[in-house]
Amino acid sequence: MKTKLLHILSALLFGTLMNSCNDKRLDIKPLDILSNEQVFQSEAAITAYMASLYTAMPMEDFNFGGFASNTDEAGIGMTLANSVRGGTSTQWWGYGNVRNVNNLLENLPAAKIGETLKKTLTGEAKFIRAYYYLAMVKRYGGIPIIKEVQNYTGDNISELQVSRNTEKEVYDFIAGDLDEAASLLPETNAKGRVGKYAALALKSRAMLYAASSAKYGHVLLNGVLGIPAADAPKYWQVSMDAARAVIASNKYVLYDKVPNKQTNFEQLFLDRDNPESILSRFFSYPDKTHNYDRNVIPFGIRGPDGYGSGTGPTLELVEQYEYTDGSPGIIKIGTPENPVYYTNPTDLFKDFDPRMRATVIVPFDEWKGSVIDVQAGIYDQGKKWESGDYTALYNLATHKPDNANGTLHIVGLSGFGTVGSEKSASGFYVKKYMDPSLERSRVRTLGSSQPWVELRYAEVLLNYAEAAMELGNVAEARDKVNLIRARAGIVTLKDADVTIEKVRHERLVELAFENHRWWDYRRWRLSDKLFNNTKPTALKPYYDVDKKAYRFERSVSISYKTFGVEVYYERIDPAELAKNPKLVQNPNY
Amino acid sequence: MKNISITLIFGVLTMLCSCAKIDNYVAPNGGVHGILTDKITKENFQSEQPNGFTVKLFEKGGKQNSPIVFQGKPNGSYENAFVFQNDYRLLVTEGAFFALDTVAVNIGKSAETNFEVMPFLAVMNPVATAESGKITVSYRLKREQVGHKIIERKVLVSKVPTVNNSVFDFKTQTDLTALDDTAILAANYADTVSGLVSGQTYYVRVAARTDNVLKKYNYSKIFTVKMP
Repeated sequence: MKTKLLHILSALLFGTLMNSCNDKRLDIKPLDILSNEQVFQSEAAITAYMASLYTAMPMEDFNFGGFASNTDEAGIGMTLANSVRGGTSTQWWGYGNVRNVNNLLENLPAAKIGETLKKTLTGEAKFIRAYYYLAMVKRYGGIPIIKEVQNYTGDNISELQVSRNTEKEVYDFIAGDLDEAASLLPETNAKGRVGKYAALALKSRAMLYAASSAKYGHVLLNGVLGIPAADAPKYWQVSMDAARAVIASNKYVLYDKVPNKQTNFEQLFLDRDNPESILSRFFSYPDKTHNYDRNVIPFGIRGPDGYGSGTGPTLELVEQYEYTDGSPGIIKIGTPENPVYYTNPTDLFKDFDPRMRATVIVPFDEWKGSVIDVQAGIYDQGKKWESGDYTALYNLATHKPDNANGTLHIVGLSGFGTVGSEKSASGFYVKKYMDPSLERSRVRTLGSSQPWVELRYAEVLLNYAEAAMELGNVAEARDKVNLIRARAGIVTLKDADVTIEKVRHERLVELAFENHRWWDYRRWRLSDKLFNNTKPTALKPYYDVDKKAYRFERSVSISYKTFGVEVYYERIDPAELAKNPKLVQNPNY
Repeated sequence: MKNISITLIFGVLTMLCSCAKIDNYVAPNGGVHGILTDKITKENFQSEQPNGFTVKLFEKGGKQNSPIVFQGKPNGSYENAFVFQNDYRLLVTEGAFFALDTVAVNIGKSAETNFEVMPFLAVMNPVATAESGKITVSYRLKREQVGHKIIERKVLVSKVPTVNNSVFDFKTQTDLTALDDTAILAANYADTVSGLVSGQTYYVRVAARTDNVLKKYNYSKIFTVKMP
């Protein structure tokens, strides 16, 4: 009897267990993730998906960290050595992001949205994919081109392991994507989103990179790195044509709203309604912000969170700017034995290219209502006094440092620091992109929201000029460079002055601190020459008590920079090589 | 109660069972080392660190393996004593010498594989003489196989012994791009580095470079010079 009952119970239990095998009760959709089918049902969901693709674009904006200290723009700062070796400093291997774009492109045709919108979205996706690939090819050289979503089916690992395409193929692929994007996109798109001319502007940049690689690089690993030199003219031409299309559209102008040239150049990077911007990344407080002001603000006026002085512009950068009459911007400080005295210290920078003082805060510049005091010490009776401490005072009666009865600060509030300290050790601070209207209480972590101008008309003109010059077309190069110089407020160039060095120089000073310089020196293959155990220079201002005026001294920093030749192509993460044995590592790693 | 105890003891015993056997693989206990000899100077091939030259080991039977990659030393030797004993193909590459092919090596406890390399350039008979505040190095450049154009020569002086193209305190540097290679190879050079401190010991080296794709320098040996 007992056994029978047990049998019946077991049978029942077994039946219950089997029951759940028959239906799909457990195949529930996740509640927190939208599936592909769900996303491509609605316009709102596709827009959100698209936003994630935009966000993933590795723009070298405020949140990127900046390359300024790796070049001669800056580099006297918080860290001692800024040598770049090992090829791991700027990694971006974005195949997850590429997959997301490919997924969009595959699903868009069937999405339930209008045809016009579909066209625009396809164009945007192609632009973004090209942006991702450009970010990779400029770092690693040739990389695998993946155009479709790869799926694992259980036995196709070797199919998923794709070997590297040649650098040339990748640049051609980027050009193709951008051409398609330009043909699909409307001339203007919503704020912060790409239109036709953004695609062409990016193409002119990408092709400039390709042409430089062909002309100044070498072909290695059967073309995985480098482009045959014979292709250089073609790429210069393609870059020029793309830039010409942007210029011919007449949709963009050089920013020229303010008569004062310096203020005008400052406003160019702060105006949210910017006729020069072809593509900007917008920020909005408090949802999407960055730390730019907090990071680079002068020490003396920094916000409640501290930080500041994150970038120490060098004297080399300052002297790269010309005087308005076109003469080289060598500052007139005399010699240590026979210095030039300035009653008003900022007079040292009189008649400089207005862009210089819109780009850096010079010693004793007034900014945000304060004088940025970076005095390095004082001279009294021919003797130099320095101090590492702002509170150190000097007694004019006894001619000695005297914290009790002294009346004169020996060093300024915002400097002079040493390498490794929190104050400027170069004498300069960055001004470009800094927002003077941001209250001091907001200069803090995630407190900044000025937009980043990713593609601006001036860059397109400079791309055009460089490509034209490389093709020997002096007149065209001159015209474009002169547009930039006229807007800046300095004398324009005559034909005889126009050389490739001059065109590059214009690019370097116009685009300083916009994170172009690192790539520019690199693609011109100049980095290893310029940064070979190289020490940057600081400018030290001293107050002379007897003369009641300021004198300046050059000071070679103790920090040094070396660009290792291996960094012309970055190291591919060994973990990627382990996943995919078909990938070949770049040389020297 | 007794049953439970028995079950527990049985369980514990089962778990302890796995402790009796060491199931770890043997750590890599093979090694490979060697020296690169300069075919022109017949001495050790001089290079720099990092990036002097690279050694790659491709293990037999490992189709999915990434090669084992390590760097050579400034004096032209290389060593890796932490690889599995097996058959490998070994490649010495990415240095200032003409490309070599891979060679097969059986790596046992300590395999030795030496190479003769043909440098892009060799620095011949360098002699350093010190006077007060300066060092003059006389030398010639030589090559036996014609490669890229010769573009640069340097004398590097450092306070530390690892002197090379990126580690130096003083240097003289001469651009040779405009000169004809025959003239360069025929010339007797004497380059002076000045600004040196009396009494200090310096390490001196000559470097020269052809326009080779990886921008590698050929070096002389390092001299130790005590300043008078």
